[in-house]
Amino acid sequence: MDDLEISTRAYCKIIMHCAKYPSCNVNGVLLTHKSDLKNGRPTKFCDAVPLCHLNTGLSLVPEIALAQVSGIVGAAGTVISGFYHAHDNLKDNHVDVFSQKIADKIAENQDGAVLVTIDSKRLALKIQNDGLIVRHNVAEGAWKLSEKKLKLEHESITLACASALVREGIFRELVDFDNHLDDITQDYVN
Amino acid sequence: IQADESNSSARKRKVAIHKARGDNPAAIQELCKYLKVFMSDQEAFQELCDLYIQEQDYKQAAFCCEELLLHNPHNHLYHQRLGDIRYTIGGFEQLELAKQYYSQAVKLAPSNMRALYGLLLTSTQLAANPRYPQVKRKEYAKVAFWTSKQISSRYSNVGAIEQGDQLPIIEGLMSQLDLTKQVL
Repeated sequence: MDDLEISTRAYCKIIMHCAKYPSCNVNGVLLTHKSDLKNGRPTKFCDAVPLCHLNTGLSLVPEIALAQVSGIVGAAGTVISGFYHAHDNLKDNHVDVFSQKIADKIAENQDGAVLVTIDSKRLALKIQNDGLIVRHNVAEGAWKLSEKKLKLEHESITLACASALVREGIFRELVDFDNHLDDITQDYVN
Repeated sequence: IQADESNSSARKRKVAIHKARGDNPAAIQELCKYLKVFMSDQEAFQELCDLYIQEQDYKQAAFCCEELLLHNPHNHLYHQRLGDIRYTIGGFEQLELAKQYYSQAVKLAPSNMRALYGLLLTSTQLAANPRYPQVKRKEYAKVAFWTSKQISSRYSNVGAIEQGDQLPIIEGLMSQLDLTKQVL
């Protein structure tokens, strides 16, 4: 069973996005290079694009964001291969209907797409292990826990990097799609 | 709360506790009780609107948002949020309503990107609907076209794209509308 790998860049962006908006539901997409697709399924996630933190239950902004990101990634040689989300409630790890629908849509276009839930309980100032729960699409509308392990690109270095970013407060400079809509000079691809 | 019925912070605290425990239905119930007494508390309505959206009870969320609009008719954010809710409910009558709300939001605040995008998406979807008469569809297409020009000009003003170019998403949407050729 192949392991899935997530690059430092993608992981740090996810953590920074969660750190920037600790009191909101956040979500975003994961990208994979076309060359990292094996049998049409992603094996390595090279980047992440943070999408929303406001009104995550409403469908307009994610629709526009996904359309725009598809336009950009096509040109850059990557594909949208996953979706990540985190809840505002510390103890909440379930996949809400909304994230599931978006992930279903992504899975329609890309085989083997994953849905990653950030486990807030495992995040801390000094991150010991990656706080990610990976789910695979088993059947239409059902996302089960993945048998594949998601490993970080450089293991402990990635974790140290993410901890440092949170400690230094650099996460405040991360721009997500909601920020972009408020001020279109900001680039959400970062 | 039993001791002093006008103690609003205790009631709000109770709602917050329910929310923190993840018990959304109980939080909604408490908040409704609170709002029956304190009807002009706008933040409470906002919170209730958010809770309803999380529970996917969009009709009630729309109602809360309408209450907020009654208090602040000139706030373009509320118009845009109500447009979002109606758009999420789906269905063509809701889309028409959503379009009206977005138009109002754009009128009040022409720089509201979300309202512009909302207007673009609703009018393209309405224009593509074969059930409507041709005249109405032309109108919707005109609105869509105007909106796309607005969005493009905003982006080119900040230098993100060249003058006269279009964002890929707009190109995609516009190509779906073969009516634009007739409008032109």
